This record gives sequence, structure tokens and C-alpha cells, in this order.
Amino acid sequence: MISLRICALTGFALLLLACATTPKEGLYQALGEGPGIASLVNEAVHRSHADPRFGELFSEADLDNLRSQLNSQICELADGPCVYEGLSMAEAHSGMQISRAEFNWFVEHTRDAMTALGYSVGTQNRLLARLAPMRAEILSDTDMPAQMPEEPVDPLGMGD
Amino acid sequence: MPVPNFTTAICTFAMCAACVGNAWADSGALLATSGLRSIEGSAGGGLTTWALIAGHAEQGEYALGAGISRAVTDGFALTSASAYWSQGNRLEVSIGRQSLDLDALVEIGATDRTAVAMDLYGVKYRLAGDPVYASFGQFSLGAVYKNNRDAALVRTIGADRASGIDAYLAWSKMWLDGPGHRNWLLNLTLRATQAHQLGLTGFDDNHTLSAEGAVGVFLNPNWVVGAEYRNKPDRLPNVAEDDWADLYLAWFPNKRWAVAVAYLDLGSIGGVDDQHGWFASVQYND
Ligand code: HEM
Repeated sequence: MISLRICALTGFALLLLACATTPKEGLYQALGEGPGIASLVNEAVHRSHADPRFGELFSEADLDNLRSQLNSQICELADGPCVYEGLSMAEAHSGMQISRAEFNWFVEHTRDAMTALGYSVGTQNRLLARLAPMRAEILSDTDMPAQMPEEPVDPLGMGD
Repeated sequence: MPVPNFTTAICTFAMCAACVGNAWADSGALLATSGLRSIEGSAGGGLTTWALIAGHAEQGEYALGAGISRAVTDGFALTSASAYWSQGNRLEVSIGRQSLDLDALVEIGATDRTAVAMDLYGVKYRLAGDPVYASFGQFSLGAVYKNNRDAALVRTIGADRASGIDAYLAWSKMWLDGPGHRNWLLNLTLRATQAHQLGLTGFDDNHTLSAEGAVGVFLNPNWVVGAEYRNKPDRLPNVAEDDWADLYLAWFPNKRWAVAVAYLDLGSIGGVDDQHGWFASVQYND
């Protein structure tokens, strides 16, 4: 028993050590700054646009606007010198009825785009971890409703 | 008493999954959030059960799948086959069959039986959360009914019963961009169990609590290395039972297939000490 536990602990300790010694580079730099982000956005939007599972969603969209907003949003998210001035994620995606499956496909296209462009797994994870918290606002429905119901809730039927 | 052939049932289930599969092939859930098939039939690692719901089904989708694994130690070999059906990343239903070869016990003349078999019927329900997107992770509640098919052997060993129910509360959390800018999967399960050695040596009349956990680090989206630890009750007076541990490497080449290998440390089994060995498992998702 002891041998395996020691082995496991050493393995993880080594891993953590290896991580701790990775040189610290800002995410914006790791993404290749403005030009890197632009090519990433192009590739991710291109892949989503070409995916028939999304139907008309992307072909009917204003892709130039989408690309430029995504550029400044990701730049800001990566601590780059930009300020995102577009719509809130809830506003931008309201009425699209985006499902969890669609959200996952979009994430997969973004990851595949980054792999195709040669970004390291670490850089991919750093960016995706910053995009993940936006999911609740983008989905049409989640486990927990984002807002309270408009009408007052009266579970005991005491009203009126 | 007529004995249904469970291996046939599982194969039929798997083949049905394969033919009707295309309707559901477009499942949305992310790669590897289906987990592997644990030896007890529910989504998990190998030795431990996780909160993940098997399959890649999202809201309004179904998933089917099956898997088989084999653990070989110096004295024993355990084959586990299982199949699942899951709905909307909410509910998982599984059936499984375990068969333990008793080579080590036959050798020392402790028994003339060459194998002991057990059937497993599991359900798991996602209570709340999401392993990737909820900050608190995912909580699931589950139960497994296990029926050891060799009641006579179980009685000889000194166990109270040949069948029992495990109930568990499981938690899973994918830690995005954790140490090393890697995604880490953390699992913890609290189990109320009657089983001795999973039930392969029978069951107690009363439940007792045990805990199990697993960590894994995604080297990339397709490869995970990690470790599991499973606390085991040790309640049979004459045969010691030890906690189990393993180190595993899992490969998720795509959403259909998952493969894992592990190095096992299972301690004392059936009176035979120091059972180390290897584990391999394959899962097919639809
Ligand atoms: C983390 C994930 C996502 C991020 C960060 C994101 C970001 C954005 C941004 C910044 C805009 C532009 C807002 C503006 O016009 O001011 C936008 C619009 C849009 N997004 Fe997303 N989005 C995400 C997920 C998705 C998903 C999953 C889909 C579809 C499946 C989607 C489809 C669209 C469409 C169709 C538009 C409208 C483009 C237009 O006509 O202007 N987005 N998104």
C-alpha cells in the first residue's frame, strides 16, 4: 500500500513543481497580442459559421461586428490594452435560444481553432477558463434562473 | 430457478445502442465529461464512482453505452461488464456483471469454485450543478443494488447476506486552468454500504459509511493522468479487507471511445495479502 501512495504523492508533487516553475507570461502576450487574437477570432467564427448544426444563426449574423466585438472582448479579458464596449452577453444572445449543446459546440470550435493555430494547451485553458463564467448569461435556460420571475411567487396559494 | 443470462443482456443492450445510436450521435456535452465505466457500472473512474452522468447527452437528449474492464492481480482477476442509459445529463441507469476468478484460493485449496459472480443494478441522479460550469461543481445521488450469485460461498465466508444496496452522494468538479494551466478533475463520494469487498464476499445486515476520491489532470483534452483512493469497510471477522488505490491513465480519443489503464494496489483479498496488479477498461458511448 505504502509504495503506491508514495509513488502517487511524488508524481503529483513533481507535477506541481513543474507547474510552479513555468515562466509567467501574460495571457495577452501568450495569445500573440492583437494580431494573434484577430486570427483566433477569425478561425473560431469561421468554424462556427461553417457548422451546419447552428442552422442560419451565423449566416444571418453581422459577422464583421461579431469579429470586431470579440476581438476587443478577448483582448480585454486577456488583460490587454482594450475596453470592450459591445453589448452585455445577455443582451447579445437574447432571443437566440442558445442551448447547452450549442454552447459546447462553440467552445469546441474555439478550442479546435486554437489547436489549429498552434496555441499551447496551457494558453487554451487560460482563455477558456475566462470565457466559461459567461455561459450562464448566454444560455437561454440554466438550472438556476438568472433573474427572478416577473410575477410574485405564491407557492402556498394564499394570495387573492 | 431460471437464471437470465446477463452477459447476453448486456451485449444486446450494447448492440441496440450501436444501431439506434445515430439519432443521438450529435450530443452536446464536452469530451470526457462522460467519465469512464467504473467496475460497479456507474460513471466514474475505475475503482471509484463519480458524480458525472454517463454519456454526452444534454437537455432533451439520450445516451447509451457499454464498457468492459479487467483487473488482474497476482492471485485474482475481476472482469466487469456494464451498460448504461442516461437522459438529459440528469439520470443514469446501469446494469453490470462482475466475475471474479478465484485462482489464488483454488491453489491453496480454500475452495473448489473457480469464480464468483455478481449482478449490479444502478441509478444515479444529478441533484444540482455542472462539473465544468457551476462554481460548486456537480452533486449526484446514487444507489446500486448488488446481488452475489453464489449465496453458498458467501455464507461459508461468514457474511450475513448475498445481496445489498449501496447508496452514495458524489461530487465532481472540473477545475479549469488549475495548477500548470491544466484542467483538473476532482471527485469525492460518500457511500453507505453493506458490502464486503464490493459484495464479492457478501454483505452485512447493516450499512456503514465509506469514502472514495479521485483526482485527475488533463494533460490535454484527450489525456488524463490521476489517482484514485477507495476507503473500504473491513467487517468480516475472518478475512481482512484493505483500502484500494490506483494510478491511472485515461484516453478520450473522441466522444465514442474511452480507454483507461491503471496500476492497482488492492491490499489483502480473501486472505491473500499484497494484491497488486493492472487494470484496463474500454467504454463505448453512443
Ligand atoms: C463564451 C462564449 C461566447 C462569447 C464570449 C460570445 C461573445 C459575443 C459577442 C462579444 C457578441 C457581439 C455583441 C455585440 O454585438 O455587441 C456576440 C454576438 C453573437 N453571438 Fe456570441 N458569444 C459566445 C457564445 C455564443 C454561442 C454559443 C453562440 C451560438 C451558438 C453565439 C452566437 C452569437 C451570434 C449569432 C451573435 C450575433 C452577431 C450579430 O449579428 O451581431 N455566441 N457574441
